[in-house]
Amino acid sequence: MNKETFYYDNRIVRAFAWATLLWGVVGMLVGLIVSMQLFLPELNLTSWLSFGRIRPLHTNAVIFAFVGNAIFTGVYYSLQRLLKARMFSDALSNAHFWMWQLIIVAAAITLPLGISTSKEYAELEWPIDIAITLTWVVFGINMFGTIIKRREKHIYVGIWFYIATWVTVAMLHIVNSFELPVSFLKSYSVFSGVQDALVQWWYGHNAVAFFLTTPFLGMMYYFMPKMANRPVYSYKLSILHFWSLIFIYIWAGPHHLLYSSLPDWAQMLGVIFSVMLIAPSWGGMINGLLTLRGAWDKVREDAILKFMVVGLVAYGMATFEGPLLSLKTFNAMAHFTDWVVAHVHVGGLGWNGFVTFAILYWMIPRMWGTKLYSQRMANQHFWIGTLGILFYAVPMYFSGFSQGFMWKEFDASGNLKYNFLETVERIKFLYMLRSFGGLLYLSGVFLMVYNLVKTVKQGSFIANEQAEAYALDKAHDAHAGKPAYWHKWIETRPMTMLLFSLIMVSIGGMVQLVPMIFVKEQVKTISSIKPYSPLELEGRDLYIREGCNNCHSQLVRPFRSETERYGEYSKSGEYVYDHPFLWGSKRTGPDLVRGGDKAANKVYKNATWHYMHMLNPRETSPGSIMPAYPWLIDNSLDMSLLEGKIKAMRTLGVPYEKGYEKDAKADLMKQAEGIVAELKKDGYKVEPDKEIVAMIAYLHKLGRDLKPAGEVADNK
Amino acid sequence: MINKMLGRLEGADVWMGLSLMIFVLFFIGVCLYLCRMSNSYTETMKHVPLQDDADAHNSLNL
Repeated sequence: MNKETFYYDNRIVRAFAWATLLWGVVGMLVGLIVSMQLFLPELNLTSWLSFGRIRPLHTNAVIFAFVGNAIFTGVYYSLQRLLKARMFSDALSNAHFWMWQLIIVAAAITLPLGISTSKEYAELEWPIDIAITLTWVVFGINMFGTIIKRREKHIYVGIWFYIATWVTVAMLHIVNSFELPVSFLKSYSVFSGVQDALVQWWYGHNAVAFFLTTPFLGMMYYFMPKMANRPVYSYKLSILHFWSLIFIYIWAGPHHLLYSSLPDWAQMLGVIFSVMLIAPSWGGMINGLLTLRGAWDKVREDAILKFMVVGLVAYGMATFEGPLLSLKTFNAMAHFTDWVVAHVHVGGLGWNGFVTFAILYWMIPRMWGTKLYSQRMANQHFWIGTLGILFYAVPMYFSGFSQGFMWKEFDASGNLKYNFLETVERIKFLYMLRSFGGLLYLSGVFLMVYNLVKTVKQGSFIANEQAEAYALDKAHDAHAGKPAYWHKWIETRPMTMLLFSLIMVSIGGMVQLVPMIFVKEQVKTISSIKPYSPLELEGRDLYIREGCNNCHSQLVRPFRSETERYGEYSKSGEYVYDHPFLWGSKRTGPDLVRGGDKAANKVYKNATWHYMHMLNPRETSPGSIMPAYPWLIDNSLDMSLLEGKIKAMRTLGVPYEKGYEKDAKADLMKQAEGIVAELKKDGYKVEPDKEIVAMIAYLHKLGRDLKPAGEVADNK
Repeated sequence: MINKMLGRLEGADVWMGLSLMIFVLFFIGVCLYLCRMSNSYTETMKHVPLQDDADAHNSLNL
C-alpha cells in the first residue's frame, strides 16, 4: 500500500497562539490592576473599572481567553499529528477561532458594563452563553471529524483527554446556563438558593477540572514526550489515570460548600471524592515527571523542560492542597480567605501558565522552521516567572492564615478579638507583595512575547506542513476478528469513547444534582421568608451589576466566631427566592446576609450609614478598601424591566400574585419614599428613584425575615 | 414520577454507596485489564507521539 501525502494546517495553530499571547497579556494586566485596587481603592476610577466588575473580567480573560486559546493552540497542533490527518475542515477551524475571539470581546465589553449573571466563571449573559455553545459544537464537529478521517488506528491517550474535555464542558456549560431571559442582556437562573449553589459549584469545580486540567493533561501526554524526546513513562498508568480522574473529579464540587446549608450527605460526598482525587492527579504528575527519566541533565539547560517540570510540580501541589482544603477542619479556616486565592494561583500561574509557555516556546520555532531566538531569555523568563509565583503565593498564604485565625479569635472575656477592618489592615502589606509577584510574572510574559516575536522574524512560516502516512486499513479492521482487549476496542472508536466518558462524568453529576433539584425535602422551607419587594429586587440586581458578591459572602456558617460576628447561621430555606444565589466565595469584606436583621443588630446599618458608605467607604469605615460608588447616588433607577422581572420570577416559582407586575412600580415608589424619609431625617435629600435607594432596600431585606432558631419549619 | 421514585429512597446516601461501588468495581476492572495488557501493545502506543517526527518530511509553503 502506498503512503498518502498530506499537510498539517499550521495557520490555525498560529492564530490561536497569537490570541493566547494577546489575551494572556490583557488578562494578567487586568489581574494586576484588580490586585492593586485592593490596597489602593482610589484605583477604582470609574464604574466600569471598579473591582466588582473587572475582577470577573480578569478571571474570564485568564481562564477562557488565555487558557482557552492555549488549549485550542495545543489541541489543533497535537491532534493533527497524533491522528496523522489535517483538521477536518479549515472553514470550521476558522469559524471556531473567530467565534471564540468574538465571545471574548463580548465579555470584555459586557462585564465592565455590569452585565453579569453573577455566577463565578459563568458571568456572561444568555446570548453569549448560546454563542459559547455554538462555538463548542463547531469545535466538536471539527475535532471528531478529524478523528474519524484519521490515518492512525489507535487513539492516543492525549486525545481521550480532549474527548472527555469536550463532552464534559458541554454538559457543565449547558446545565449551569439554564436561565430565564428577562431581556436581551438580563436573565435569572432557573435554579434558586442552595440548588443554584450546588449546580454552580458542580460547574465551577469542574470548570477547573475539565477546562484547566484535562486538556492540559492531554497536551502534557503529547508535548512532554516530544520535548524530552522519549516516550511517556507508563502507558498503563495513563489509562488508569484517565478513567479514574474523569470519574472522580465530577463528584468533588460540593467541597466548595462545606458548612453551608447544603445537606450533609452532599457535603460528605464532596469531601470523600476530593480526597480520593489525590491518587489519579498524582498518578498523572508522576507519569509526566518520570517521562524525564534519564533526561534530567537536560532540565539544567533547557528552559522548556524547566517550565514543564515546575508546571507539573505546581499541578501536584495544587492537587494535594485541593483535597486538604476540602477536609472540614482545614475548610473551616481556609474558606472565604486568601488561602484559596493562593491555591488557585499556584495552579493557574504554575500549571496552566508554565505549561502554556513551554508549549509556545517549543512549538513556535518549529512552525517557523527555525530555533528559538534566545534560550538565555527563555531561562530568564523561567526564573522571573518562578519568583513571580513565589511572591504571589507566599503572601497570599500568610494573608489567608491571618484572616482565618483573626476572624476566629476570641479574647479572654469571650468576645471576638478583632473587628473585620483590623484584619483588613493587617493584610494590606501582603496585598502589595502579591501585586509585586504579579508584576514579576507579567514582566516574564512580556519577555516571552519579545523572544517569540524575534524568533518568528528570523524564521519562515510553514503554513502547510507536509507529512506522509498509510491510509487507515478499514477493510483489515473489519475482518480482524474480536479484539484482544476491550480497551483496545474502545480506543479505535471515538464516538464510543465519547459515550463512555459521558456516562462516567454523568454518574457523579446525577447523584448530586438530581435529588437536590427534584426532591423538595432537601430544602426546608421557612414560612416567614417572603419574596423580595419590587424595590428590593431592583436593588438585588444592582448588587449583581456591581459584583458585590466578589467580596461579600451571604452565608453565615455554623461557627460561634461567625454567629457572634454576623448573627444567626444560614439555613437553606432562607434562599428559596434567590435566583441566582449570591453566597460568594470570598470575604474581602464582611458577610452581609444579616445586613437587614435590625433586631440582632450585629451588622445592621441604617440608611444614612449606607448612603455615606457608598459615597466614601473610608468616611464610615477608616481603613476600608472598598471602592466608592458615587454613581449609585447620581443614577436614576432603570425600572423599564420591572414588570418583566416580576413575571420571570413568578415563572420560576416565586409566589407573586398574578397581575402583581402592574402594581409593582407603585409598591416600589411607596417603599422608596420610606427610605427617602429616613435619609431626610439625617439631612440627606435624595430622590426616591435613585439607585442608592434600591440598594439600601435590598441590604435591609437581607436576613430581615428570618425568625430566631427554633421557628424553622419543615415542609412536610 | 422521578420525585416519587427518589422520595422513596431511604436517604440519598444510598446513591452515594451505589456510585462508590460502581467506581470501585470499574477501577478494579481497569486494574485487572492493565495487568493483562501486553507490553508490546503499550510500547507501540507509547511511541505514537514520537512517530510524526519520522513521518514528517520536508516542509512546504503553499
